[in-house]
Amino acid sequence: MSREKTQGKQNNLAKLTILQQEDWWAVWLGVLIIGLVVAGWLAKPVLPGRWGQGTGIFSAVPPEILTGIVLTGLVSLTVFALSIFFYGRKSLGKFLLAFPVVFILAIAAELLGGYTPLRHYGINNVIWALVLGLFISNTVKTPEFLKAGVRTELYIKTGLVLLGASILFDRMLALGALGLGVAWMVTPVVLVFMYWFSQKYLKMQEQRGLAIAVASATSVCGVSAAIAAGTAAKAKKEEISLAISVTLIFTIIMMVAMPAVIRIAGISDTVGGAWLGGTIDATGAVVASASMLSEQAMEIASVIKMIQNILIGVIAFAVAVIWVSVDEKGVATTEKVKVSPLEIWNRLPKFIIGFIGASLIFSFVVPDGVVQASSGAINGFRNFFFTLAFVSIGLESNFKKMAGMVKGGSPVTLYIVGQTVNLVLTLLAAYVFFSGQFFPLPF
Amino acid sequence: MGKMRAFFTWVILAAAIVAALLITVFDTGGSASGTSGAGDIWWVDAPEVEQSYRDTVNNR
Repeated sequence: MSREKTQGKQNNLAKLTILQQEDWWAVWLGVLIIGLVVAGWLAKPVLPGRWGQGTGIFSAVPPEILTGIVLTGLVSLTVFALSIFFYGRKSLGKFLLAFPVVFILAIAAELLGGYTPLRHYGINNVIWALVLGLFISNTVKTPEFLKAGVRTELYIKTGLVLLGASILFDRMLALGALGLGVAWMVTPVVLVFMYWFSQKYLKMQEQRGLAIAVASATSVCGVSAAIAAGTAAKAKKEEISLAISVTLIFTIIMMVAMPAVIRIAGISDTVGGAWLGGTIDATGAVVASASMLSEQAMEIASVIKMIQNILIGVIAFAVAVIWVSVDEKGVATTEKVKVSPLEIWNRLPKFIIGFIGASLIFSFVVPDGVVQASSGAINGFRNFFFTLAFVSIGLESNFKKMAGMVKGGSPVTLYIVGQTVNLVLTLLAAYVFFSGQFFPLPF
Repeated sequence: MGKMRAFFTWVILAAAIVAALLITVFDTGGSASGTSGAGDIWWVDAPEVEQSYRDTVNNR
């Protein structure tokens, strides 16, 4: 896109009021849902449960929860329809017709994602949502009427604002400075190294969004980081899906192989736990992997991962600001252009305001009891909105386009090189901070 | 050099996919253990994380 076109688009956006922009509506919907939950007027969404360990698929949807599932659909329809009423009234009727189909696909993804033997290895609701959407769009093609319900940006950004409420900065010192040494020192180094490597050696100049999504997923926490940083960088949705797919494959291997390596190498449980917590991407995989070592390793790994997850807020904010002030300028033109603070504000994806705001308020203002009481419902809606988002991504994605992105293997090379650096640096940090040789252990 | 890099990347990716499939099919990670797994992508999805945080804070 030429600089003139980009500038024109930004100027047009700036002229719209905050009630006419989808980006701002993600913030309002997030605030609305959080407010309703905290006030006790909105309960946890009812979704299919887990099944598969000696139980059949029907145990996940007993008759007594069917009404609750329908109500979850109505609540979701109402909140998203409210926003579309303000920013895209012409398409509201079509949305009301299409959303129930997207909702049914999302419920199917939740149901399939609840199959525990596969879920343990990462095949969860998000992956099934993507698979179902991709299957439809690449076989029978997404029906025209359904496209009105495909609101990827709205679902994903609203989910991200809700995600902010679970990023609790006040927990970052749970293991004292030692936890920060592993989780907050290595992570930014790996992130910056991976992005630099992608541009300098892999020449991914046309895939900056993909590069930052892979780098964030590798250095921070897999799917959540890929979604947050990728959306902040305005990455293509196929790029986020690809980053998630690559990390998932390697997470399965690391989850099983790393405890074996730790045992064979004779690494202590404290160092091993810190190493697992700092390197394995998915939080649940960290727990499963460290549990193979010992209870103590599991506790250290879990808390290290929790501290590392907090970084996602800082990284998403930094990526959003850098992308609008430096990177977009670089892509749009080769000439040197100064970007004014007002232009940065106009370009900044507004969901990031809600995302960081929710995080800061839930970290430092809302009492711990209220945070605990409301987390189930807020995270339930966050989880379901991501499922809706990934159904939508699948419905508007095309296999050929995704395959084109891996041509030459650059995203995979980026992951392998980045994860190797991550493993080495994190092991070093884990040894320095958790071996007891340099610092007294806090437990 | 570029072709060589691409070749090795694809070999590693293919090996990784096969390994991931074998781990999943043979359930090497013990899905019946009852702990969270790779499908739980955020700490609030894994109750062990909250419990570990509480235990760590209480023990300090």
